[in-house]
Amino acid sequence: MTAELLTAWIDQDRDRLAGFLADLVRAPSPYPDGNTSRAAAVVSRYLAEVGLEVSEVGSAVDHPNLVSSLSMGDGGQHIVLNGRLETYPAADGGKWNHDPFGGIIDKGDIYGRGASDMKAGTAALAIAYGYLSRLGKSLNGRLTFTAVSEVGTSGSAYLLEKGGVKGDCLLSAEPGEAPATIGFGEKGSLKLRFATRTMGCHGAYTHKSKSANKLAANLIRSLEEITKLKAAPSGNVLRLLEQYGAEFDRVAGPGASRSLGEYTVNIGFIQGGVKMNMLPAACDCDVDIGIPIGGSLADAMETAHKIAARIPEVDVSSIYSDEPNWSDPDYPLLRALKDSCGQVTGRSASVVTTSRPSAARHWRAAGVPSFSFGTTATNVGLADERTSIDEWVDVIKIQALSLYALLDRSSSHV
Amino acid sequence: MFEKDKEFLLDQVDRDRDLLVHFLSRFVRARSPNPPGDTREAAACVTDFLKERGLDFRIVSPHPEMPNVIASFDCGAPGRHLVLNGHMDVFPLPRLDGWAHDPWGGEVSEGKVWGAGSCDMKQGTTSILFAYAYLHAMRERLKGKLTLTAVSDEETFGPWGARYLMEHCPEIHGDCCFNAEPGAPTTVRIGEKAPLWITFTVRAADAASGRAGEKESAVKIASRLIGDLERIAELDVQLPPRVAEAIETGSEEIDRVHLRGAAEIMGKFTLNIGMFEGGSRADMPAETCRFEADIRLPFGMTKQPVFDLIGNILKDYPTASMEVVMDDATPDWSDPDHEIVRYVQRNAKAVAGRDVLPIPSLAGTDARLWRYVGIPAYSYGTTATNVAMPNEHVDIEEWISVVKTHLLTIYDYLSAD
Repeated sequence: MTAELLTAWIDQDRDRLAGFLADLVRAPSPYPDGNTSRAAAVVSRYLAEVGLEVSEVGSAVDHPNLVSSLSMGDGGQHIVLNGRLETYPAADGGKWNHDPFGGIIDKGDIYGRGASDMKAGTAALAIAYGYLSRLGKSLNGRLTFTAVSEVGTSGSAYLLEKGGVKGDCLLSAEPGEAPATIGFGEKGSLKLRFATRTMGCHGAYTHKSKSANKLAANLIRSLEEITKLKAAPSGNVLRLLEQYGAEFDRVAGPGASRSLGEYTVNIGFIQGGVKMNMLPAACDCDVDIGIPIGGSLADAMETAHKIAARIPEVDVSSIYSDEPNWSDPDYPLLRALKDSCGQVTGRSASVVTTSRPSAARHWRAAGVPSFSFGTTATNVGLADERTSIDEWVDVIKIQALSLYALLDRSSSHV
Repeated sequence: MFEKDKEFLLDQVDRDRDLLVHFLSRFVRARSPNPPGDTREAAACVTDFLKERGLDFRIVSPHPEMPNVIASFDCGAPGRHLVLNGHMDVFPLPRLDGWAHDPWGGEVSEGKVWGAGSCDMKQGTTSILFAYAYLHAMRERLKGKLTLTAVSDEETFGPWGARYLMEHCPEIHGDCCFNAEPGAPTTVRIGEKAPLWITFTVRAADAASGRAGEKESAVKIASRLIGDLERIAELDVQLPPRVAEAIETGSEEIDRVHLRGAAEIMGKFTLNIGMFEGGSRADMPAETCRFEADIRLPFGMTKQPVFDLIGNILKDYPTASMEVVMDDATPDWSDPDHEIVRYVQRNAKAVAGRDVLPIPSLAGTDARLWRYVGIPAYSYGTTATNVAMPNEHVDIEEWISVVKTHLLTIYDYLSAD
């Protein structure tokens, strides 16, 4: 009965909820070169409207973390909901069909920077949290909503270390690579800067100096060798990857599951040379290597350095690194999400890794099983980023039902 | 009489040595990197010099920040018209590190003048400016006409300098062009390879994985394309016999002056990737990537084989497109037996004991524009030291000998029957 009540409330409030998401998109929070204060204010206002207190916890100026907590009684689990406030920068301004900060809804989709990654998810968690609070008496345990600014170490890492927010498990709402995917782990990431330095000279004297740009192009071609590295997942994770691999292929297209277990190389940025007819003395290139579950940073690092070492003019430095991480695929929250997904959409959810690093890694590192369930990532970081309102409303329902299943006093979940 | 005149001219250079160095140092401090190409301060150095000596000039400035200075005088008797050419803009800094001297300081030390443009080619423009003034003073004893052109917008082969003047001011065409670009004082350059400039733009493509929405970085695709474009350097070349002979004869000297390999690439297509840029951060696939190709056509060759090859290569790159920035240059050359070559050889020998060979050049100069309209054009100058590199400089001792060689060569041309 309660489950039906939750979904009825959500359907009934649909327009108001979409209005909240639109307001959140209209509060720009690009990172870098922006702040999350306005976006935080929109979330705080929504929670205040549904009668929930929220406090700001944090250390970074203009990048607050929001925390709101409900204690429903002794026993039961403490579930932390983890949303994020900052977004990618709104590049490619001219290519947008809709104002990236307009919060415009067109043909059932909401457009804007962050509409998919992950203002939709953050809003969904706030909304689910709000409805769960209405059921206070029939629940036990504790529910904590967070909306953080992941800027340096002042976001989730700060909450875990200094903010007193930890919990027994974590639900995030990062957008997934296909509909109805539950993220249980993340590929690791190794971001490297390759700096190529040569003497440089006049562009007509190609015999005189090596070209920083040509060497960089050569290096980039060789970096593909990293994708040939083999990952070696073990135990129940290997079983899970095999089991859901087929499902993921079915949902996201043939070959999609390979992304779960493969090293990937993205060349994100290059800048070399000064002028057409000068032979370039400097070229900088930033690369992001995705490391699959069962792979390792060390392997990626070693191979990248080995490739770079073939070109003496190239210097490698590490910008960022993160090991792949994952949570127990048999954890109750994951089961609850699968069940609720079937209940709401009639389709079964796939359990996948995500390729973009998220805050969940901090919680996993602290021993907190963490899972993510969100809408489909659409044009994340690109022009016309968007989210289907229908899918988003389903995600809210699935989140709310899953939380209810875990916190229900009469539930058998522990 | 000629020998006396020449002695008098050489004495003037020796007397004015400090003045020349001082002028060049100030000229370097009048920074004029191109891009952006603003030469107003540098041009003021030239016009102040002319004004102080009561020499007439006019400014042709089709672009408000890129003036061209033209000065001209008629000699006492009719004769041929010689045009002197130098530019006032310089390359931008290739990199900020690596400079032991302020790149815009015009520092004079260790017998050198240091700074961006000190060699390419503020020293050359200074040399012909002084020569112009010295010869003006004895114009009644000379024949024909001398014109000085100190221009802007050379380093990008842009439209606002010599290109504009050649089109709109036919009075500066003359019968022969003498250009003072650096190279080596042991070579007089009779022609140059031709730049062909193309910009490539690459968009991200659907990834080979076939995953919905997954893109392959435009930078990755561009890196493969650059690898394929390197085949341009392997295109077949048939050099004209006269040029092949000049390269053959001068090959040792060419390699000595421009480092080993220079003579070989004189006869080849070359490819420089000047700029290469795309994307914004490591973890976002670069949506677009842009790079610039500076291709140099060797003598006797046209752009056609390059375009044919690129056309074939681009068939494998559906998300790549190209935009031709400049394709109207041709690898022209002037007669290596021209009298100017003989005068340079004679005077370099007399002034500094140098043997001078006529050779073609790798780098482009504005001299090509005179060749395009059928006027013989020659470049002679100091050693090109660290051009477009940190610690660009000119050696004062060598420079003074080149100033003298310039001066006597112009004198010879305006004295000949």
